[in-house]
Amino acid sequence: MTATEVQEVLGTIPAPSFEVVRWVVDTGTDATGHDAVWVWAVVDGPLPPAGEIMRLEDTVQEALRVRSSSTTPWVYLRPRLVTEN
Amino acid sequence: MSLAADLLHQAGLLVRHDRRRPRQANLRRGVSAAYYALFHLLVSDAVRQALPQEACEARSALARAFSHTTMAEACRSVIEPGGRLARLCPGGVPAPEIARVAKAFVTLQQARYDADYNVGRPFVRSESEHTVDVARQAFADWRSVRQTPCARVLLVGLLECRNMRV
Repeated sequence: MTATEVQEVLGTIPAPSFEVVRWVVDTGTDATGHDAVWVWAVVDGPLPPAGEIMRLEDTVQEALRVRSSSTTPWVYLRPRLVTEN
Repeated sequence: MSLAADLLHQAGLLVRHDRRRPRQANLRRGVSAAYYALFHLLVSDAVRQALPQEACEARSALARAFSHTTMAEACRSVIEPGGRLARLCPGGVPAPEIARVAKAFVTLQQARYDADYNVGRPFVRSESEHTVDVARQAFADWRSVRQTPCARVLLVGLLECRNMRV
């Protein structure tokens, strides 16, 4: 799955409870050799609670599973504040 | 405090140590400590379960038998629908708390790998703090389910999931 395809999927998921200004996506293989996607949610405002970020990660994972034709990459979703970019 | 709890505490201190411009070394060591906190929490419980009465020397020897890769594999097999360890949980589905702990382990292990080896990917404070929060949540989840049958399956799987036949 390419970064462009992941960006397309991210454009279809329900908006989370906090504002994501943009997504930064990187694809590759993780430390255990699995296909993986790193998604940085660039957030405007304070750092959202961990539970909300983890729920968003699950949402992205499920959206990619529906979209994938074969193996779904593992999603590592991490927050980043606008002020940190 | 236990080693696991100390590491979790240290992780929180490191990612918040620098007031203005956090140093990469502190953020990365904080992320790494968050992973090792959960690693040692699970290994110590697995050893306690396997060798409840044995001497410290036997427990230490067993603790060194755990492999990071096998532990991640076990965690994935708890989370994935129809996974080997998931099928061994009552009803074939792990409790949400177990699934969150397993997912946190995989997440933290990758974060630790990035923090320790991927110097081309700078860490920022927010993602480092989030990583520590994931570990804290995993500790809380684990406390609530550590005595359940599915938790005991996961603890055995952390050591031996590759050889378990379902």
